[in-house]
Amino acid sequence: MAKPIRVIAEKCIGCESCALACSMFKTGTIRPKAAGVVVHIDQFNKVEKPVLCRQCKQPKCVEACLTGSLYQDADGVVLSDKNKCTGCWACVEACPFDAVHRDTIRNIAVKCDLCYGHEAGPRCVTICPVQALTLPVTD
Amino acid sequence: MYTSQGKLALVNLSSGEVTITCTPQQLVEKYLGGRGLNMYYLHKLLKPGVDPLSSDNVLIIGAGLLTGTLAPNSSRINITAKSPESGILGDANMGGFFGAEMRLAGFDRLIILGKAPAPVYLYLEDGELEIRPADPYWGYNVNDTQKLLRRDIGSDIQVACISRAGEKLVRMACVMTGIKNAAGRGGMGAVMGSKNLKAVVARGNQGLEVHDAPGLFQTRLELQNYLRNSKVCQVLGKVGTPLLYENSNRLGAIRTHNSQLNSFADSLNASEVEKFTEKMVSCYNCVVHCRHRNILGGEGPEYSTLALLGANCGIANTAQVIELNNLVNDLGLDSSSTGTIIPWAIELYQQGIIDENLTGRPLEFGDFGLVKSLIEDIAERQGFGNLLAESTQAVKIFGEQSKDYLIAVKGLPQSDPHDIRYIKSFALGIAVSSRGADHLRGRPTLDILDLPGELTEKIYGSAVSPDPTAYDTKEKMVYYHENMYAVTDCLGICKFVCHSFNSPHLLRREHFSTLIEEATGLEFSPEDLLEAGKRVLDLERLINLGEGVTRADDTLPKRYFDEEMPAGNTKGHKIDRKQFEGLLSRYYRLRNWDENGRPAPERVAEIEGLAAMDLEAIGLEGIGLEAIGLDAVGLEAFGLEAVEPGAGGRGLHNG
Repeated sequence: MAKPIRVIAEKCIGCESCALACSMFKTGTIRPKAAGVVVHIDQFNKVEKPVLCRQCKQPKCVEACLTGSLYQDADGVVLSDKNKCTGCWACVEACPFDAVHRDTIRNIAVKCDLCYGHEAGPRCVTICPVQALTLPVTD
Repeated sequence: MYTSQGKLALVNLSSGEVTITCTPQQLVEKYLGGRGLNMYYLHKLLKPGVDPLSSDNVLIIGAGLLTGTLAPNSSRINITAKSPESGILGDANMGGFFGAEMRLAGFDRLIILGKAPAPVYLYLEDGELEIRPADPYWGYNVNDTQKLLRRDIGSDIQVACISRAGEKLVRMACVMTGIKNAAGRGGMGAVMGSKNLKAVVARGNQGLEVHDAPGLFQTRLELQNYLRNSKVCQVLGKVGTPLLYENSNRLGAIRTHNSQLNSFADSLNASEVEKFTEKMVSCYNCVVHCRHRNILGGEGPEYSTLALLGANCGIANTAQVIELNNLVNDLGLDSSSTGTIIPWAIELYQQGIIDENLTGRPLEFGDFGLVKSLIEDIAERQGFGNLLAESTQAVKIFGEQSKDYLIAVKGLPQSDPHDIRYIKSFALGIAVSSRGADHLRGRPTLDILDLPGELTEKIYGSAVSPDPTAYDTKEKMVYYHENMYAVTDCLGICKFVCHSFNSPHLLRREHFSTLIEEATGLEFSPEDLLEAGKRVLDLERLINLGEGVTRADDTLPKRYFDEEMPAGNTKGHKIDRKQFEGLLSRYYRLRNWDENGRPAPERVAEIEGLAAMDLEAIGLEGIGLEAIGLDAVGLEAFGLEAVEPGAGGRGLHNG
């Protein structure tokens, strides 16, 4: 079964490289707020925290999706069909981990799909300069 | 339009008019962006001789050509205006997250004219700009201003703001973003204050398009791997810039006690500062992470702040210096100027040039309580602090003799805490820096690294002397480093990952050409980039000549010529006036400037030809320029022909 990307928040330096790379491929533009991985950064409260999908076995986002845009593949990766998304944000509200993000320009939800179909693996993991994001150990 | 190009906003705060347009590609090809295009617009729109704190000053906030992209360390912007501290061109470069957010919100550059009738801030979101009332935020310092704006607007914004010091027109007030990122030099915060402009707020949703995403991603990975394996990047990521303190101090070249002495305590070594570090964090898209989050509630200190508020003020207690660092950041004061002006005043008191009638109390080196209260008084312009808030222009109050003890050039206090009497290339760099005494314009210190001759010859194109104390050939170093730094400032890339700042390696012009092509689709050869850097230096020179700068201003503090370094490995070194003048002449020739430091006629013609482009052609029509006296833009109005050197309203230049 699919395992989520592991986040080691204490290693995160808050550079947002992961979100820039992710959004560049996910949305076609560099838009770190509309990436599959979004980094919560708050200098005033000492926060650097990447947030991305945990690939839940029983995903609340899929349950909440009104259009069938969100679904799980055979490996349990939660995927989205952007053509079906209407931007109702039910999935965003339903996710207990704030891991589904709003693309307010295209009006669709964006989430981590582990760079599905990209042979080299998740780009956020590749680009993270401090290994705050790592791939899970496979079974 | 090229891929990722954002908008140019012209804001007339006097009338409230906003015009949104784009910079023509023809100008991007000549000046790239960031510092270069800022200088273009400053030259075009600033009338020589205006009071920097009047509504006639022109404030420009401009992102680099690569700012906000996936190019490594692409966080930076330049804030440019006539400096109220020096009276010549003012220009400060800032990292953090604001510059990228401005780009993600659809803007490359803001040109701000006039003066708002009441406090305002600018709000940028997805190609739209609003002028909003700032009354609820006026009167707050850096951290509180940003916290209040985030409370009211949302936490997904980035803010560039001024503090109370900026509001009170303190001449070394910064523009700040986050806890410690500063557009620090030259009093750009005071310029904002003079325009009743409290902040610029950006919320970027629309983002940046990319010309070749797979290519840019791959290049980024390769360069990141290269940089992460570099020793200097690794050390910067571990301890930050304080690593330089020990090097300078061990050499016997740390500025202390207003450069009366040149060595100080080991308690300010990076290993001691590191004990106060909670975590190292980064700016936008940075692979180095050199920012310390300290356990005393702030970020930093950087080397300059550490040494100037520490060693130069005679304060050796690490915790106290970090406390002062946190204080100046929240008060929005340039630590380089503050850490130069206070020690200057202390020495003036000791020398009897000023007395208690003026200072209100005895001034002594090493008095933490005194320094802390002076900093607070500068920011509030109260008591003796009100005089120090004039920065170098306090010479007018303290008297001509006080200038002999002032560590400043062209009216700007020296930024780098290095006593440059030993390294002659460094001395020339400080002397000719276009914004006054500053190391980030052309810090040429590779000759202290004991590099192989073939490597330095390859870098500089011909042999340079490996002896840091030699004058011979050092003009080549300053020339080269200035050009490189101008390019990096135009692109919005942090110097810490760029070739020639701390290392003979790291990112070079060849890398930049690739990154620009992949990010924007624009083709610039490495030679094009070098030529753009040279052009920016020549343009800056023309701006300064228009403000009355002459060869006599390309000099050094009197102490550096007249007094030998008192101790350590550098003992006995000083700057020889005759040798220095020869070095300066060779530098001018290399730059193709005449003996008076005037760029070549063909370059002047090129620059003025571009500046004479009519308003409509560069999208500047219809913004109410008449209201600020810029009704007809022609060569005569802005060209140097109309302004004799020595004329104009410059402030204090170095004597």
